[in-house]
Amino acid sequence: MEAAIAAIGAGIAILGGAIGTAMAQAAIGSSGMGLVAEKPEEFGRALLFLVLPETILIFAFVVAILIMLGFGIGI
Amino acid sequence: MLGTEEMQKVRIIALRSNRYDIIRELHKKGVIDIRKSSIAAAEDAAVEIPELNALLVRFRSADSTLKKYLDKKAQTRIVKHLDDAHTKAYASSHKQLEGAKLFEAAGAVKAIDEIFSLEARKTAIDSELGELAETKALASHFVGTGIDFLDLRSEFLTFRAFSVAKNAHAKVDAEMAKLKGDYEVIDRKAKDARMVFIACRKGKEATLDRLTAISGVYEIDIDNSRLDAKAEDVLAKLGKRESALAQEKASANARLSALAKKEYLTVASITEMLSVEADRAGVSENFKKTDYTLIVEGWVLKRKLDELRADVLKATKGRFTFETLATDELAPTLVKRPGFLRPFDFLVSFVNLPRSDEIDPTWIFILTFPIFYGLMIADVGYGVMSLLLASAVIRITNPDDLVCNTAKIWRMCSLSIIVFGVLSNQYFGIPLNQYFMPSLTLFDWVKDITTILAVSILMGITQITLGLAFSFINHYKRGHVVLAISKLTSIVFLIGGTIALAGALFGMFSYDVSLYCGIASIIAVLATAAMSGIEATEITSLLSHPLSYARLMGFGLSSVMTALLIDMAFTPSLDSGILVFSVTLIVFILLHFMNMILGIFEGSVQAVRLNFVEFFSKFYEGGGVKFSPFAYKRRYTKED
Repeated sequence: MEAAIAAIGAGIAILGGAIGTAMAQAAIGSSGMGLVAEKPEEFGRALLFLVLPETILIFAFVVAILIMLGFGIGI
Repeated sequence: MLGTEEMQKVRIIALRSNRYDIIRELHKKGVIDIRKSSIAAAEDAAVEIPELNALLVRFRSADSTLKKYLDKKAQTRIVKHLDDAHTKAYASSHKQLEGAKLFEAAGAVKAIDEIFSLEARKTAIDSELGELAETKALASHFVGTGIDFLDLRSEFLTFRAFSVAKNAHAKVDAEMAKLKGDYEVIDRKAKDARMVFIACRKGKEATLDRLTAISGVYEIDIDNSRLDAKAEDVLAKLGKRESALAQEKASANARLSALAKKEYLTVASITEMLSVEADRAGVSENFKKTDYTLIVEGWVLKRKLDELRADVLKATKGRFTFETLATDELAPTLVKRPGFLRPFDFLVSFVNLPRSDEIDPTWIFILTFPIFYGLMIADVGYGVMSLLLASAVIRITNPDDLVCNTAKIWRMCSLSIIVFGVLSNQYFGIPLNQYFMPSLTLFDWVKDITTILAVSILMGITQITLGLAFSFINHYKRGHVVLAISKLTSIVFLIGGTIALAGALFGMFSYDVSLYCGIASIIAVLATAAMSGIEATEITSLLSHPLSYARLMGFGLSSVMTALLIDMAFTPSLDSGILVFSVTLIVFILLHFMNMILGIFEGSVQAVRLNFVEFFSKFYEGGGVKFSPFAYKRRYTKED
């Protein structure tokens, strides 16, 4: 039972991180496309800004992994 | 090693009578980035040679025309800069010509006039062919009607033609029944539809507009200037003219191809020599002058200073002064890098060019990018596929192109994917090391998650510590001692804090070591805050940035897991019959290919990001000005 709750907790951690990242990327992505349409040479920088929020998901992923390992849930 | 080329600002003062000799020597040497002099003297002007500019325009235009007619092999050699031995051999026997000799050589290229005349004729042919195609399309509507359009020419009558679809016949018949007196209707069957010709008195045309309002009826403009016989006769005449023009165009193309084969290198070499002369003529506007002297200032590679001085000495026969200037001005940046690593400069240039007074981070990028990228994809099969694809792209693209440079990085990093694939025992997701070298397996993505996570974060801590150390060096070199020391205390905080946390949470260090490191870490934070408020605000990033490196494990694991799932679901087996085997094999290959492409994209973006955001932000300022030497990159000629 504990393991099941822990697995759900890990899932919630990933879900929250994913939603947060998606919201941030939606705003940055559309602005980035606007920037690239005006200045194609800024593509690199726009792409970089786009991937910045992925850190949120990575943190969520680390939390999920720690929860799962803490409760002895293997992959 | 981590710096850029050392530069020295110099001032050369020489007699104006030696102007061309000095310019030629500086241009030949190609080691000076000429800047406007700060001396308060009159500005010199560019040397105006109208004939030179006119000739250059003609030759550039001829050059770009001939390039289009080179055969495939020559295209590869000349346009894509591949397999360039032939061009090099040509260049080695053609010296730069100057002045009257150059004009004479340019005048001797008689093919130029012929090239322009052939191109002009081809343009005219294309335009006529376009018109013919339009007329053919128009005439083809009337095939089978038997109407001779010569009969449709009248001063008093207007002729209109309507194509009528089957569903509109009844409505059209009803409308035509209403036309009386001023109208004459000829109803014919054309090749594809019913065609109605109506002749009416001039001024009575408006009534006919009602027909076009009927769905399924559209009017065809009878252009009598184009149609002057029956449609079939017009088409036959146009066909003959078209084939004559096509033949003429083919012979013009053949002649241009022959000219390209015979004359391209001559035209290209003269164009290059004229461009060199134009460069030299135009540079004077950066000079200052007095009645008898000429003042040239610029940045020179420090290691080339003596050579340049000797060349100017030779050009001026000793009548010059050569000063090295002390200045606060930021020197231009020229990175020191072997040719095969140059593609990485393009990636770093996404952020900015390094300043000449700071550490060039590209070296660390070159070292860490393949490691991060390889770890995130880590599969021998994907590595081999990447290697083959990247090599193919490099073979077919111009070495100066963005695509080619990206493919070069991709190819280098494929080796890293293969190495990490072997170490993690992944061959399209299938473990195979046990069959030939079990000891090669260093880690297992499924069993060693914690270790891989710890190693990923440790990589982050190492790189960020390095970034802080670079920042210390940059600030110290610029005399910002307090800020420099605050970087050292940040390092103490980062390392001390890591040891304390690893000891307290995971028992990796003894209690005492963890405690002392924790205390040292707290003292370091306080010291940092006392020295620099800005640095203190950065402390939080020292906690989050190493954690960000967990993505190495995250993306690597997701790539491996996807490969495993593909293998579980779609590994082809002959037991299920040849048809199922073939289908699953195709799906297996496609899915692995997609996983590889995803891995390549995500892996490269994330590896770039870790360097740019987490590492560069610790020390890199950028904003350097590129060193642009007064020189010409020759391909078809050599210096005299």
